[in-house]
Amino acid sequence: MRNHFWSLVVYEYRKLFRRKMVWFTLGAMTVICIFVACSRLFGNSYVDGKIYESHREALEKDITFARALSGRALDDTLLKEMQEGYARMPDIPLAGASEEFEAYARPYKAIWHYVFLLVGDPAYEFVTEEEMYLAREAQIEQTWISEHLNNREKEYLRTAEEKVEKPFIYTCCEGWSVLGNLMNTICVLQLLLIAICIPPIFSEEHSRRMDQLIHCTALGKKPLYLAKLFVGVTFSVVSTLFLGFVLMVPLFCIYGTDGAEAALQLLNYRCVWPLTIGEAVFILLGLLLIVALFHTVLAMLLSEYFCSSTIPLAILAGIVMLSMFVNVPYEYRLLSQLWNMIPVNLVAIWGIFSNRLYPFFGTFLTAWQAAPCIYLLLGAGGAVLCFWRYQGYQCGNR
Amino acid sequence: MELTIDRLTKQYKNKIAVDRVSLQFKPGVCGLLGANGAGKTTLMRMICGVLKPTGGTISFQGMDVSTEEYRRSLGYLPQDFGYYPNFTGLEFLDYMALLKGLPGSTAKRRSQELLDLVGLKNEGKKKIKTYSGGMKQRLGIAQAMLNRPKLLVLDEPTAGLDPKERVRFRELIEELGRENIVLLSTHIVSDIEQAADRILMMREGQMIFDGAQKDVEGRLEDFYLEQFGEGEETDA
Repeated sequence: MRNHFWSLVVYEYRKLFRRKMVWFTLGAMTVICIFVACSRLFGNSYVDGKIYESHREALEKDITFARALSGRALDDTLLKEMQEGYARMPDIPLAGASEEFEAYARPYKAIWHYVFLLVGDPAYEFVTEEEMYLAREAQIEQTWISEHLNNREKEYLRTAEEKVEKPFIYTCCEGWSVLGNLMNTICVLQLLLIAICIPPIFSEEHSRRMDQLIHCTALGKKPLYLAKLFVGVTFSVVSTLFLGFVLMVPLFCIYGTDGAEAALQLLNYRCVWPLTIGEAVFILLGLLLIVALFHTVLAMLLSEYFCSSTIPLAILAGIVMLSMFVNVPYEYRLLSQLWNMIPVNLVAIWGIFSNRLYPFFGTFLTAWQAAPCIYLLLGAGGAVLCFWRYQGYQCGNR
Repeated sequence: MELTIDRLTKQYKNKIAVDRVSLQFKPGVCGLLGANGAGKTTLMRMICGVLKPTGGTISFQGMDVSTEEYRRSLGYLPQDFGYYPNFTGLEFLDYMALLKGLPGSTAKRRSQELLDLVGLKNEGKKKIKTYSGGMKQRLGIAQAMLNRPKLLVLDEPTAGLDPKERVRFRELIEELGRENIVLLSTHIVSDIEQAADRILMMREGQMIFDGAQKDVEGRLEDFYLEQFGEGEETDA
């Protein structure tokens, strides 16, 4: 029986990869990933209608400067150097193209950008280390209020925040940062890939009227269902890893691999979790793989329920579209939290590492602790439902 | 060896497709005749376990229709079914053999044997999408026989076959019917006339005739038309 299972898996894979649409979709996704990874290299900056520098040159310069600052604490000394450098810029239009900017300010551009996010203009010109970290705390507290968190949640988050080491150590982590930010793009691509490739695993048997032949064979019920499930899940997981790899290789070639140990707060300053960017990316990647399983089961369940591959595609693509355009306000606490649990909303630096907490037997789970359990449970429930539907399918209504 | 159908009923909302049918089958070829909508295909689907009856039971040598053991003894050729167009004939048979639980080496040998038997030996490595309707039908017949079924259910098996192929198929059925139960539904009365030991006629979900050739007075086709009224369509 075990050998039969693997032989069934081979046949299911054969059916899957003989569909032109699978190859076309995989090809298109690969091209999109490469394009997204390289997109910042294209184009030029213009001053007075003339090319000032290409984006590629600018990126190389900025990364070189950022690397020179790597390992330094974001403290008064570094802030002062940045402020002095920026103070030497002339007070003229297009000061960003001046020689002074290039010589004195640009080496500190990465620090300026971070400080500017925290305190804005003109405070960056004179802010001290203490004021900057206080400003960050104030912004975090403000976020908690706007998210309607209760006192227990705030206390839990404060405890987590206390574990974050300060001052932050600045580290050039461009490659990891861009990868972290693009995890959401991979999630969207993954969902579309699954929506296109997975439903036919079940629906083809109905559309080709093979169901009546299959369901009256010895292995056509449970063993075939398990083989189909295995093929769907492994295809989704492996193709997600493939998309991640296709994105990662050009990103690391362009931006470098350094900075995995940088504090997550350098990428998302409102984050209170004591994690490094490398850890955050691996958590996102792990979550993406669990989401692949969940999305696969969902696509299979829909295709078996509707005996169609078009309806699941429409529903799953609709989820992507809706998540792009619909945002549930924080006032509707439960609804908003449920909406944020939709994988394409959650699998992102700003989603999974948000301040939203999930009550759990007197304590709280963070989104990155709760979400994998929820998706796995939903996936397992969906697989059972799908099996129930598959097993009980009746070939009579044609 | 016995297939027992006891008060088998299938009811859709306002229509009873099969109405309390009770039958027993022993080895031999049994032909099922009936007009369109008589309930033949519904009955066959229930016998094959792909359609759940509203009431009644089906068992083969004591095995319930829902069991894997029952399905291991079964061969089924549905009235209308598709194929995987990108599979070759041989691949399709190998896949069906696998689903029927045949060991790998046996499956390969049996697939080749059956391709030869249905006259597709030279076409086995061609993709099914290049097959004609008759070739597909022969491939369907081959897949039904892969597991040497003790219970063979054939719904319109001769549709699309040319006269020569039909004769060959009839001979095959007769041979299979010596040791196995073969249930055959067709709208071609002559197929049943020549191959079936027992004839069943169905109308509006009920059996209106169950007997042997000798019980029919005169030609079967005339008898059939008589049962259904001469003006009625004779397609099953």
